[in-house]
Amino acid sequence: MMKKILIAVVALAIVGGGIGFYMSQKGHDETADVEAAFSLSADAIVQEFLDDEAAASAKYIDQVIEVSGPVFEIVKADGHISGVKISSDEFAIVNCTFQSSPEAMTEGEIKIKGVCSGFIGDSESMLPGGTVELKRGALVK
Amino acid sequence: MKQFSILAVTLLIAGAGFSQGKYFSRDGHIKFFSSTPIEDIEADNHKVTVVLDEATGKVEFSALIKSFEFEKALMEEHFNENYMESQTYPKATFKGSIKDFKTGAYGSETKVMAVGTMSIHGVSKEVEIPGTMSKTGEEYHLSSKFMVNPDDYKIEIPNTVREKIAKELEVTVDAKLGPLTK
Repeated sequence: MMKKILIAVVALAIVGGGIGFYMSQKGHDETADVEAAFSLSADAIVQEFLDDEAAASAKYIDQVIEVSGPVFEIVKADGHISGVKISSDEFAIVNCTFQSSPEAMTEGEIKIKGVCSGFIGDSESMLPGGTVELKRGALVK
Repeated sequence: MKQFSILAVTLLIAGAGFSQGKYFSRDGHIKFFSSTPIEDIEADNHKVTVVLDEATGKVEFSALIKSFEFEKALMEEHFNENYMESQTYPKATFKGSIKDFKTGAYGSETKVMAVGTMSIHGVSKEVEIPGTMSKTGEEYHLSSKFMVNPDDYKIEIPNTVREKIAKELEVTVDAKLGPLTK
């Protein structure tokens, strides 16, 4: 009986340890496969943060957000597309870095989704306006 | 002829304003690296906002803590929730100026010292950060490498993971700034 309990405890410890190790080594979910919690235009989400940063932070941070609007700038690193800025206003920007580099992107209207990490912009800054940041983004269309 | 003179003067003023204006980037890179015999940990933020005022040498860096990306999901979660408490302290900033800044003196890579206030985890400290600066055409390139001690910013590392995180973290900063026209 004692031996069986001991085997059960050891088995549980191995399984538990295995799950723990797996969880600690796990990468991030693929944003492309996650359904967005919100879908709105780049101008609208920046405006929400400018109007009430605390409320917009509580609503959007850590959520997958789908954002549409005109490409302001395609950001490249080492020859690959690493991110995109979406806006029709140079000082009200959605700045998204991609989880995997899209092979190609064109200027014009696009839709992306990404995990919202917050907002940079305050009245004391030398830079006017504000930037909503998305990480692990994916191109929707 | 008078109109031409007015135009020339206007362009001159605009040009002077442009050449001594502000420069900025929203794509600055900050990386931190912790190395211990047990584990190396690194995270990157490629969306750092940086502004430099060419007239005064004032400089600002703003980084969202949640924009630091780790390879492992759980590590990123622990970093935000347990150590940096990013819900309460969402940003890290540096506001200060380049010591002995001289407009037009950075045609080649020059060693500089940034002096100002670093705010991390709700704690503000006066710091001096060494770095380099250069200007090519209409682009400033700022870079720096320095060490940060989490204790200085009241970032508590639990004993259970103390062995995995270095006492001092190496921070690397790199940003290319273009002219701000507004």
